[in-house]
Amino acid sequence: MDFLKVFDMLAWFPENISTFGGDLDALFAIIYYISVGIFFLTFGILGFFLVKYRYRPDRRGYNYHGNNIVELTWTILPTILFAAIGLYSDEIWERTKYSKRVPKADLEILVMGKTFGWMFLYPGADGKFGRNAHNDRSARSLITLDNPFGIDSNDVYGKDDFFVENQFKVPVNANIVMRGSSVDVLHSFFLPNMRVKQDVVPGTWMNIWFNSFKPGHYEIACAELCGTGHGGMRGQYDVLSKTDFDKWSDSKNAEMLAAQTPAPMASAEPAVADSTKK
Amino acid sequence: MSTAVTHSSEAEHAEHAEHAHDHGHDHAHHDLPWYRKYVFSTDHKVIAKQFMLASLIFLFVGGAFALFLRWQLAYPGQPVPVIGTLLPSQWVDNTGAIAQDFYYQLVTMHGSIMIFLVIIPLAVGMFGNFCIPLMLGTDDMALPRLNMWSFWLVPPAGVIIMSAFYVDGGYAAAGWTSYPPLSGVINSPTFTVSGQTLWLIAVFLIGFSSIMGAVNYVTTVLNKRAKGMKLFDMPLTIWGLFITAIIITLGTPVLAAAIAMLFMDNFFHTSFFLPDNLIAHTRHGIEAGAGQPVLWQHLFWFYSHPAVYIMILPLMGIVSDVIATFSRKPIYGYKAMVFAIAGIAFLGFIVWGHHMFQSGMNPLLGTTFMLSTIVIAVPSSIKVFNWLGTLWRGNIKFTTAMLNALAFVSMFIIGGLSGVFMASAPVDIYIHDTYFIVAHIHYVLFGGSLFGIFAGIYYWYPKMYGKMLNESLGRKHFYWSFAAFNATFFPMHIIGLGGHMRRIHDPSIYEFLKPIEGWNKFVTIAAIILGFSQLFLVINILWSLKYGKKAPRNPWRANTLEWAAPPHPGHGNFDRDIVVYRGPYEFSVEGRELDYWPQWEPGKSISVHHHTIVVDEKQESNAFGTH
Amino acid sequence: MSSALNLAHEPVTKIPMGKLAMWAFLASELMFFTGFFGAFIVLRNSNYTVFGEGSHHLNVAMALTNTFILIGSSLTMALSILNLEKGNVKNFRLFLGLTILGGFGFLIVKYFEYSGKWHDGLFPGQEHHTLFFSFYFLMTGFHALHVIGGVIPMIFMWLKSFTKSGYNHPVKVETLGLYWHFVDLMWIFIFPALYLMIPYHAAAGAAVHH
Ligand code: HEA
Ligand code: HEA
Ligand code: CUA
Ligand SMILES: [Cu+2]
Repeated sequence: MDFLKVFDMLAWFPENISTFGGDLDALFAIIYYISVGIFFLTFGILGFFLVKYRYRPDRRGYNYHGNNIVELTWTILPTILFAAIGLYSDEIWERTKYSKRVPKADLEILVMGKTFGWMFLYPGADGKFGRNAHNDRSARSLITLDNPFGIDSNDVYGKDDFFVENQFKVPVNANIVMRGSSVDVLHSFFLPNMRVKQDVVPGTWMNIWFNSFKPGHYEIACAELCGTGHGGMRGQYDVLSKTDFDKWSDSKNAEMLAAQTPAPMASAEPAVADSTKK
Repeated sequence: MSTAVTHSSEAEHAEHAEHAHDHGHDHAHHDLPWYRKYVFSTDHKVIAKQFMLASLIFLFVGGAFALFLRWQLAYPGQPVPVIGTLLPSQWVDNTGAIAQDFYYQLVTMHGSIMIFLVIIPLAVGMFGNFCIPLMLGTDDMALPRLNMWSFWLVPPAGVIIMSAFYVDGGYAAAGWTSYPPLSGVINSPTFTVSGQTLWLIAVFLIGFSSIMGAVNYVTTVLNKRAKGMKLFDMPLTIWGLFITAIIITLGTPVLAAAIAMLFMDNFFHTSFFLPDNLIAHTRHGIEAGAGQPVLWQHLFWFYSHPAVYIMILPLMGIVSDVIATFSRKPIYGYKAMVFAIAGIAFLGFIVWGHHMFQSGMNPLLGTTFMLSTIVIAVPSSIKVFNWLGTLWRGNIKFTTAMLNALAFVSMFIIGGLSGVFMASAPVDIYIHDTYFIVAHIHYVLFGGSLFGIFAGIYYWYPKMYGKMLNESLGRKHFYWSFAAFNATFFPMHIIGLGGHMRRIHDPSIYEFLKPIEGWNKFVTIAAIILGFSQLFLVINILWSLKYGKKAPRNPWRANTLEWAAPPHPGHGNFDRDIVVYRGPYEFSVEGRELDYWPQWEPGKSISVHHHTIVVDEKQESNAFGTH
Repeated sequence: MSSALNLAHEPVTKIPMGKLAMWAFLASELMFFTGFFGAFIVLRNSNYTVFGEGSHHLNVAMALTNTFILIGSSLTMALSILNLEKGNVKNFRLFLGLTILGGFGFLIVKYFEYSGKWHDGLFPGQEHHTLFFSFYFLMTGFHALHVIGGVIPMIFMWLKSFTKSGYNHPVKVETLGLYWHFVDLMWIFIFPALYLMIPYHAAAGAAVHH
């Protein structure tokens, strides 16, 4: 009976796992029901007229040029309806996208799009990013293919910053704030289940935030044409319980430490090598 | 044509007189060499036919591209049936399956061809040329030679855009929106010609052609109306085209400017749209200055949002005329219709940002663009309700033209409603760049514009070629197209809600897209049926050219001025002086035997409570003075 | 039959066809340059330093000369129209000739300006200044193309006036005059935008940046 889902379009959404996702889906549903109503109204009238006033040899059309009151009515009513939709939408829009409404971060992550993959930079054990292209514009000149975040390896805070590729992990029930950019062309950071979509633009940083209430394993996609590999720019992410997440980030921190003790290597390369092996 | 309201004496008279007029008329131009008559003609009707021919050919090219990409989406990696291995090796791998980079070229070329070489030339080029002088009761455009050039820029543009096949890397592959930096030619030396640069040149040429045409239309409408024709005596087709021409005049140059800049970025290594320190753009130094990729989007959509109205307003006009004629009723709220067109055009210039909600522009702007976009649905609603009002108490005849016009109205409602979802910025977060958008595009552009174009072709073919189209083939074309169209594009809403991104070549690699896999196959099969249904149209056009019934002067018993011209008008159009006595929609006037009252027939009437009542059918009216 | 018809009547608005079309076209042209200016404003405001430094490298003297040449040619254009309307063919030729000369003068100065920039390595695709000189060449380049586009029909009209049939279409010259004034007007905007509006803190620029 999957087929019956045609009539209930809302059933086709992938499962929502984000705190604001419910609002977005509900708004969709409201507009959907309004639209279905208008659809049946207009198509009903149309069908009725087509049958009732179909051609009859013994009938004539009705010479009538329109009535201002009727026209005013069907101008004002939709205007009110539309205004209501607009104002209600705006409240949700402000909450999800306005930069001043971005909640206080429990965890801050940098995300970088690159043809054709996603990279994520975590602040590491100290919970603080070192100098990089996000917090210091001049560090943009440090960006290379091997150092996409422009990390300054001389900065003490930066020593433990680690990055992972095409996958990331976040704790459940926490405000995650991401700052996104791209090293080459436009990409769009799309987390279908999280109801997150944000283009990332080389040269600027975008605010992306979410808060998930449901642990699990989900997919990342790219929603902006970025070249031949656009369709394959797939990644995965995990929403973990607090303890699982801490375990993972501790192991990452240990890796970073291990990599640095023997010989002070440049930037965070070891972490990349590790994360891609998985 | 067995109707209660029998043939008017006027119509019969006209049909008899036809021969004499017809011939006397053509003689003057027999001395033109053939290439001036059929190729570099300055006759607006010939130019209209040229637009029609060129664009219908491109409709098939663009459609074939669509079918290729549909195949890949439903059966990723499987060889294209029948012709797979015959295709050029740049396009397919050795099994005959579509190559990954070719997929992106297909999407780009499909969208670009359909918009720049099919819908705009058909809606504006073909109908603009054919209808404006005839419906204004004049002999030709204001500037016929300029008009000729506006057509002759299109074929070279078509050749240029298609010729990228011969260039390294093939066709442009950045989508019809060509967002930089992707559309920038990364790290290639200056003066490289790529598919993308050819795309830019071609679109620039088409834009230039549009502007030349539009300037001509504006001048013609303002300057060449028949005697007695006030602006508010013009049929809605002309209003739609006139206001479209204004949009083109003001919007297209901005696209031209943006294209000039992107072209320079690619060809001369300027950096309007490229930020500095791109790792892929080593040529930009630190102090080179930082261009902005999003700036292109602003410039592009400043044109391309109005452009979607360029693609629908002329058809809204045409559909209004068809609906009025076949329901034998005046347009409900004619002036409201005109103001709605103007309102859509005006608002169209301030809503472009709704394509950019997720682009990274300031979300504050998102709010303003959302509100303005939602407002633009109001004039559209007015139009829909007025069309319904026109059908109310009509005497509706379901000719093929009428069927297509009704399809326009109903499909535009669906496409418009999906537009309202996307206009709500928070809803757009999830559906942006998914197949929900693709569904919207096709409901408004195919379900709307293309069905409107079909309606116009069925309606005016008799005047274009002097032959009637075959109605039963026409019906077949309509019913197959209509059913297959909905089967193809309605499920795309569902595919989109499932999260399927646009412009991806292989949905099967995503776990979350598994549930909609079946729909992709269904859609593809429907699309193939839809494609082949178009053959009815082609056969009909060609068959009727030779074997069609000879068209009378006014086969639909309509009111507008083009029907005063002989069935197959020669250069100069009319065989009588045209004087306009009334508005274009006086159907079923009380006190008149005939259920229509052409604009050019003398007579006097009064308006009582929104009805027109005959006072004297024959009296010469002098209301318009000497003019 | 057809000769008896009176379809091709007087323009309804009383404005000649070509002239009305030219007005519409100029509206279009205005939007074309508006696209450039819009981009200019946006990028200048986010790159003051680059624009300030770039501006310093321009040759204001040459541009000023060109401004006077163009304004002068607009004047001679107007005079040539006036003379043709009055039937004074000789003066028409004189003033149109001067206008053409003005157009060429402008282009010659432009040539020297461009080759200077080329010589100094001030063009797009360089380590420095790319963005400013992108706009410089874009805006002055398209403006120069418009100058060429105006001079060509002028030469045609001018030469035609020497033939036996002469040239007697004041309306056409007037229409071309409209275009020419527009080209002049555009320069009046481009000149200060590129040459004179040096961002106020540009001097401190080098220190701010990097
Ligand atoms: C002919 C072409 C055409 C037309 C007419 C429209 C009409 C509209 N479009 Fe569409 N649009 C496109 C062509 C068109 N569009 C294309 C090609 C794209 C994609 C470009 C790309 O990215 O490639 C696009 C994309 C697009 C987007 C961007 C989506 C995204 O990328 O995320 C948005 C967002 O707001 C939008 C909105 C609208 C709206 C609100 C209308 C309105 O004008 C619709 C108004 C109509 C109605 C509302 C229906 C009729 C009214 C009633 C029956 C009355 C009662 C109704 C109510 C009370 C609700 N369109
Ligand atoms: C008026 C415009 C118009 C029209 C008519 C169409 C018609 C069709 N489009 Fe169109 N489409 C666009 C405008 C249009 N499209 C635009 C603007 C885009 C966005 C592009 C972008 O993202 O940049 C798009 C994108 C687009 C996509 C999204 C691709 C992607 O994002 O990956 C898809 C996918 O299904 C699609 C399918 C179709 C189909 C099946 C048809 C069918 O209706 C086609 C029917 C076929 C014909 C009319 C031709 C008939 C041909 C034959 C009978 C010959 C058959 C012969 C052989 C196969 C050899 N289109
Ligand atoms: Cu990255 Cu698409
Ligand atoms: Cu739009």
